[in-house]
Amino acid sequence: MTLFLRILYCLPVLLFAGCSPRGGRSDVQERLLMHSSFEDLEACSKTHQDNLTTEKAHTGSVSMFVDAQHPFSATYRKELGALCDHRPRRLTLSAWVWVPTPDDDAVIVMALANPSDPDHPIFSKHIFMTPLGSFGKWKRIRQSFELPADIHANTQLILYLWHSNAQSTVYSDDWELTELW
Amino acid sequence: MKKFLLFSACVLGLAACGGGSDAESDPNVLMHTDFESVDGWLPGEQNGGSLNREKAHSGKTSIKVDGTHEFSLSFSKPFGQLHESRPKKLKISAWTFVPDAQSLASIIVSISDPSAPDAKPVLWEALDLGKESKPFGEWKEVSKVITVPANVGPNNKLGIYMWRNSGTKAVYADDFKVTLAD
Repeated sequence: MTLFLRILYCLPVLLFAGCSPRGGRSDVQERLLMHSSFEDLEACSKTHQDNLTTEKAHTGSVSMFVDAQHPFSATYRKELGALCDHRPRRLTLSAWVWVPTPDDDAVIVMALANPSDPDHPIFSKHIFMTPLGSFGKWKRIRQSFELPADIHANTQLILYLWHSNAQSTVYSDDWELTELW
Repeated sequence: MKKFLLFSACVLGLAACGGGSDAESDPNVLMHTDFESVDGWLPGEQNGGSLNREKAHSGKTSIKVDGTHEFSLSFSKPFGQLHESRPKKLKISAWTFVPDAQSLASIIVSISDPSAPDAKPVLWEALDLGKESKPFGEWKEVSKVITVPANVGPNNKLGIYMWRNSGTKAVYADDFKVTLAD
């Protein structure tokens, strides 16, 4: 195949590769359910100021942090029915984290709870930050979760950063919750 | 010809993707919030707060005032986070939905000193939505240009919120934007 024909053949692929990997297909696609770089949260919240900082940020000027004095970050809490118009089976959380050393194993907690008993989750998973290496700089972590069958529209999705066994301050920024649907 | 095809593919590919938000692409836009990214993070707003999904100009979320919400959720940022130097003039804009002539509200723009929370604000100006939002019952963009006082420093905070003036029906606001107007 000549170079000309190769370029002609690849033209449609080049056109769509950068923006929508499923361009032209109306079936399954990754849908953004929630995103936050914590800039607006810092501007709108009087209660979360202790969990937000301008010391470091992956984008903008604000990130969320946990340390020994602030072991739990601000919490995201939303009913699944407000996020999806159907029963979700699998959600994916992506976040950028800044972890100083391998000993600073903070986690992002993803939990599900019923509104009648919001403090006792029916499902809880941790996203660990140290297994991927890369310390002292921003790195992206991403994990998908299969949701249990006994959920309904009022089930609350809960997300937060937990200092857990970490020794130093751990930062996180640019959270994205997506679903393939 | 081969080079042209390859170049065209790249240009068309980039064009199809479009740019990011106006706050990212326009250096004069210092802030733009559509309140989507705070939804779910504010416990006091979860049920029946000013933050709501009843109406929205963009996305799914807006803020409101009504018979039970005298003040809306407030946006507040230090000038040091908005711009590297003190801007002389700022344009504050928002999209608002005023249902009728009896349900009125104002958008308040203030500049305060966080070290003196009880002191009189450095600046306090109101944008009367009764005058600006006609015709009623549809989304309309409103704006106001403020002159930033010379004594404003990086720690002074710019605050923007909505204040109910009369009536009990909900008045909505969305897409707050702060733009350099020097």
